[in-house]
Amino acid sequence: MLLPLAVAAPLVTAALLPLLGRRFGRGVALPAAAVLAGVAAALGREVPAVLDGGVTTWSRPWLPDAGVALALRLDALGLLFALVVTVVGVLVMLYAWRYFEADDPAAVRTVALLSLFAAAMLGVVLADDVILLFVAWELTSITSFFLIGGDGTKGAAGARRALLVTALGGLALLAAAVLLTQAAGTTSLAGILAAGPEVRAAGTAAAMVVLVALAAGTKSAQVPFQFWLPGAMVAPTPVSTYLHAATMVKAGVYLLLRLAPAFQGLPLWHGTLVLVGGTTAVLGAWVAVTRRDLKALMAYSTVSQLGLLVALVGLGTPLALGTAGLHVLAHALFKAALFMSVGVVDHATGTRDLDRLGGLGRALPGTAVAAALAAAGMAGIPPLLGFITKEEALAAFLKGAGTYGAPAWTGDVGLTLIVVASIGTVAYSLRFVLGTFTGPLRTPVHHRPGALLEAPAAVLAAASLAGGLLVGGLTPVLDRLGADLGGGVVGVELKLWHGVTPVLLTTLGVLAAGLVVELARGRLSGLLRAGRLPSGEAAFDATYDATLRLGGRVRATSGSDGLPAFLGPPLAAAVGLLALGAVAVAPVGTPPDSQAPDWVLLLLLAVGVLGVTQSRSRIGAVAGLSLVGFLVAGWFVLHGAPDLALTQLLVEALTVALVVVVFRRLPDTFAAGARVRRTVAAATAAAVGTGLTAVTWLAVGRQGRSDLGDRYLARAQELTGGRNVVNTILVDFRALDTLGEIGVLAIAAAGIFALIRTPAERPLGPPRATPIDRGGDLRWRGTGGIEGPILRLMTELVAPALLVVSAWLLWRGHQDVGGGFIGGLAAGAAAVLLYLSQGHERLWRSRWFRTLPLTGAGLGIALGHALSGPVTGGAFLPGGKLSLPFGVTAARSLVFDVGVFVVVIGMVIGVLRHLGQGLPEDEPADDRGGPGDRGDRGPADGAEVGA
Amino acid sequence: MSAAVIVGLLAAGGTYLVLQRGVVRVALGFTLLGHAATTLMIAAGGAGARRVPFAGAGPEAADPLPQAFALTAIVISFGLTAFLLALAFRSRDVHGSDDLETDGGAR
Repeated sequence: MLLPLAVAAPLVTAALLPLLGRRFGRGVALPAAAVLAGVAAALGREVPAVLDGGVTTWSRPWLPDAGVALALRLDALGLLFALVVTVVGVLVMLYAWRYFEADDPAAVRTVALLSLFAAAMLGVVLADDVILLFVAWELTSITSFFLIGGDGTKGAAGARRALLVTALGGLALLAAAVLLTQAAGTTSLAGILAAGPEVRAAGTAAAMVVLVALAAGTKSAQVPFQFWLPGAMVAPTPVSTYLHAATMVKAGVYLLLRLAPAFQGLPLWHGTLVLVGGTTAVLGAWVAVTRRDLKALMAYSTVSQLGLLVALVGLGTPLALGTAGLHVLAHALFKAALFMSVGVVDHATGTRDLDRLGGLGRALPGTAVAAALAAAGMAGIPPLLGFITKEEALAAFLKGAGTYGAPAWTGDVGLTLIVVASIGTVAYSLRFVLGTFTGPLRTPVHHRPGALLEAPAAVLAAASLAGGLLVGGLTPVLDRLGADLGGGVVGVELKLWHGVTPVLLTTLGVLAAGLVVELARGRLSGLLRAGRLPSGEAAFDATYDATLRLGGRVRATSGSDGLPAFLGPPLAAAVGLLALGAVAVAPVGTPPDSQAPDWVLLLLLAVGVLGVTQSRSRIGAVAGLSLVGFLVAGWFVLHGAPDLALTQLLVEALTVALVVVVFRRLPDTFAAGARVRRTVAAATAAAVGTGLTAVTWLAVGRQGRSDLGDRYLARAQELTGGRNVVNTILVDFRALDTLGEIGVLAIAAAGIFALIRTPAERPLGPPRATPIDRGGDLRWRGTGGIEGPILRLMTELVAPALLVVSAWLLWRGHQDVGGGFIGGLAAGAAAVLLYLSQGHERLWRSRWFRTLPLTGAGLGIALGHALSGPVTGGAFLPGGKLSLPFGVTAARSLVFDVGVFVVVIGMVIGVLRHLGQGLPEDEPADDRGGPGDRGDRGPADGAEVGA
Repeated sequence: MSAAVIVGLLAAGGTYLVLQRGVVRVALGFTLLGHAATTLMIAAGGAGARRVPFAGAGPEAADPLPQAFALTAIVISFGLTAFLLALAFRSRDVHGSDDLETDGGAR
């Protein structure tokens, strides 16, 4: 259980932190650090067993049909990375605690996202399933996006570049995972590595190598994708430290190390990685030499170091692979310390510009020592851990590929590139330390960092030093990694002094050359600037902008923002398909017969449709619409669907009420469309209608009842206890669909709520206190109330009766015509009556008639019923009986129907509350003018219309 | 035959209206299209058997499955109509008319 807990603990923490954030602010970093420390301690206990070759696994089925599992595996490589993630994570959290101001709202968000990121990263390095690895990998990209982007004010461009580049790599990883799974016959990583010969022999091996290199190259900022990493430096320093120095950018290196055994011996694999990695190392180092911004310098330095790691993986000998693992550790220690130091300097002076920095050694002695130690490690100066890993890297390239499958040239080419890169590394390391902490003081410290802000960097630098002094203890790690990944014996004892060897002489030469470059920087700077490469960032932005422009051009072909222009093509396609269907479908079965009432109804319906479409007055159109609605209800009765007929009648009544309510705020007549439009619309309508009639006639309803319908009819009563089969389908057989549908209703209600309540230039206020009697005015201007003894009497009698009826309809629904939808609509009709007689204010002031609480409660009831099954050991959306007081029993699904009932009521109430508030006092009902006619709205309104 | 004509008639009316200017007419059009869809679904159950589909209704019972689909569809189209009318309502508040093609915000 250690492995799932290790991933789950920071995940759960991330979810809980925002809750604590309101109270504790930046203090939430402490529990986050404590959780990671706990995970680190638990993982640390596994170190001896893992170094002996022990492996821990954990697995649960996920998509068993596809063979995909939630499988985790702890071996030496995974443990090394997991420890880096957790230990550096603890220090980053502690650093973040002091880095943010006490009242900075970004603190909680950043810390929670960092915790989520830690979970994702642990998922990457512990996953034993390529699909799970992919999911965790993408999660790191997404959290990185949100962490770089911050609140979206300044980091948006950098975040977008980082996300798109790493997402490209994510797609490559998914494709590679599919190919690997095909070749090896399993999604298990251990299985894929065991099937190495099959993978290498597969016809797609070259494609796999390219895809894996693409995935790793984008994530680990290799040429030509290096540009996103410096762009990500707009993020706060804790983020840069954790994601973009110590861990996430190493995910690509992890992937390469993890898959190295599978591809060992393929020349394309070794050659590509050595060339790409070596080039990246050189480019990053020499660009870093020219940077004045300390964070940019560190970012390019990270690019360079990642290149070194990739080149080492490419060389592929046990020594190279083991050294790559150790250098990941060394780099995490010194680079995290350096980023934290830069953050302290920035925090203290307000600048990161080398031209404005200098002489801070006296003011910030702790940070100066930590930074100098860390930089010495980066430059490869003894006795730091970075010196040893750099030496072993040089040793690996000096020894060459040997018999481990890489082409012979990779050793020499790699050595050359790494030496050139290392000279640049020494130069910029010197420049960073000397330029920041020595010389004359340029920008004074105005914001003294606390000891707690300086401590994490000091701890990391001390670890870097201790790792160098006690490096013998790391030899078993090197051996284990070399054996696991390279399949051979490393045969190297790690120590500070090996005697005078070619490696030591190379190191000394690199150090001397670096010193010379730094001293001669003034003369070299012109040369360095001249050698600038085309900017990947510019190329990326050009591609991005061109893609957006292309989208704009495609959109522009629709020519208009009008609905017809958008509907035209799909309607034309529909007509075409209908015509094709009418021609291609060979009728089967017998056509359903029609009866005399059907034809009468059809004639009346034609009148109604003509009325809706041709009426120029809104009242006329509504009359036509309700005629159509009532006729459709009648048609349902003819076809044996009383439930539908009742639903339709109630909906019709509500629709008419709704349209009339809205019409009070709209002009009384429709604008006449242009003749062309009317002709085109009529032609399209005729084509659609004819096509649909033909296809319906030819293809629909010729085979009688569906098999499923037969089964429901035969077994509904036995299985659910309900006699009304339609209702049992809604609340029992297909209750999941219904759950989704009431969700849609609730969303529609919330949408209406949001549309109307969102403040515009003139927010709609609460209704005025007195309902206005405009007796005889059909437009019911005012707040909704109609004075009149008859209506009032009707309401007082009918509305309570309707409520009783609605409850009765709900109750009997399972057995007879009725149910939650119908009952809810009936209760809604009662609310409409109340609204018409007593005005909008009555609804508005009520504590009960509220949109979101009602729809939310209804959804809650339905969901509660759904979940009550699993809780009591049954199915989701359970069936069965319910015992009520007084010896009454009902179907358990009645609870679900009650939820439906309440959601429907909530939606009707929402419509009345938000659409039914009538006209403002100062506005005539038949205002048809544009903005110019409404001078009373003030200038802000005109601006809005023109925007 | 009559069912097919009714479906076509309702769809034609709805199509005509959604191609007009003005959100209210478009909303009316969607209501008609909704009627077309529900009648089509019921027609798919076969117009031959017309008894109410209660348990024990025998071979003359209508198909309950399309009825269940249609019932929720009716309520959902009411939700859609309400939402469209809310748009019309708001459009008039913000832009001064419910006309889809002259509203200032969209361009």
